[in-house]
Amino acid sequence: MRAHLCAFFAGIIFATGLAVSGMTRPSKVRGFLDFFGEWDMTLLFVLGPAVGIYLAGTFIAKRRRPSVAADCQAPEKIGARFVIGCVMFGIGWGLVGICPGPSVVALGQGSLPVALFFICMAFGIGITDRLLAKGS
Amino acid sequence: MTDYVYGLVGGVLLGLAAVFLRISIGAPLGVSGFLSKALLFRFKVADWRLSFLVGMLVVAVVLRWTYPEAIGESLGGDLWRIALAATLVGSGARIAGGCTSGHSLCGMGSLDIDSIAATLIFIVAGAATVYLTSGGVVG
Repeated sequence: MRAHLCAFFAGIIFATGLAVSGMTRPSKVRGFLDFFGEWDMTLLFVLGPAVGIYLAGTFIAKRRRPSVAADCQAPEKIGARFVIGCVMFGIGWGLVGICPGPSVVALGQGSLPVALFFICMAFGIGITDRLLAKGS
Repeated sequence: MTDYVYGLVGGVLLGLAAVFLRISIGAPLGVSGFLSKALLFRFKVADWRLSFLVGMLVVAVVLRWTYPEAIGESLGGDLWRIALAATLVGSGARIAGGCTSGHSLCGMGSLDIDSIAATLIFIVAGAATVYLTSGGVVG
């Protein structure tokens, strides 16, 4: 129960952060990726404090007590498959300017394009999980 | 200028949420990974990740009624383009073992070399895509 409450709270703060920061606006994301046009550096202002706080926060937490058992799966190691996955993600991200987190928040639009995005993303996740499980 | 301020405030919230999840539950925050577990439709497997996603959806619904401008920007392009992009985003994130939250926020915040590499590849591939699609080369 406690884990559910903590996760629920974290989800609320995270989604609020995405909406406030402008990550839910495809034009901001594509603007950041537009290095050869009118580059919009807002995303650096988002990523900077986010990464910095995570770095500092986990560092302080680790010093206070031994690292909690994380249930994180073994991370994918750098290799051809890893690079291909990253490139696929990057192409999709650049095409529309939205990634998984913001797409969940954007569902609040109640619009067809966002619903389509979410369903196709879920399809991509599901089918890939199955293929990866079969292949390895 | 105001966009930068909103960016900073939002970035602080993103960092705090990820730290809180890491400290309270001990797991890194990765939305595509959470969705992957949730899509198995097995409550015991998805566990608290479902609550995280429900929290995000609550914000989505609240914003719809209170401040729709924050999430109102429509996804540009044809529906086929949106469908293609979304499938690439979902599939790519699973193959890469994470998306922007898992790799670019938590992974980089853990100084993980793979995540730093992933983020750089995301940006290079994304920038190339924007260059090709906005310069009139394609679409």
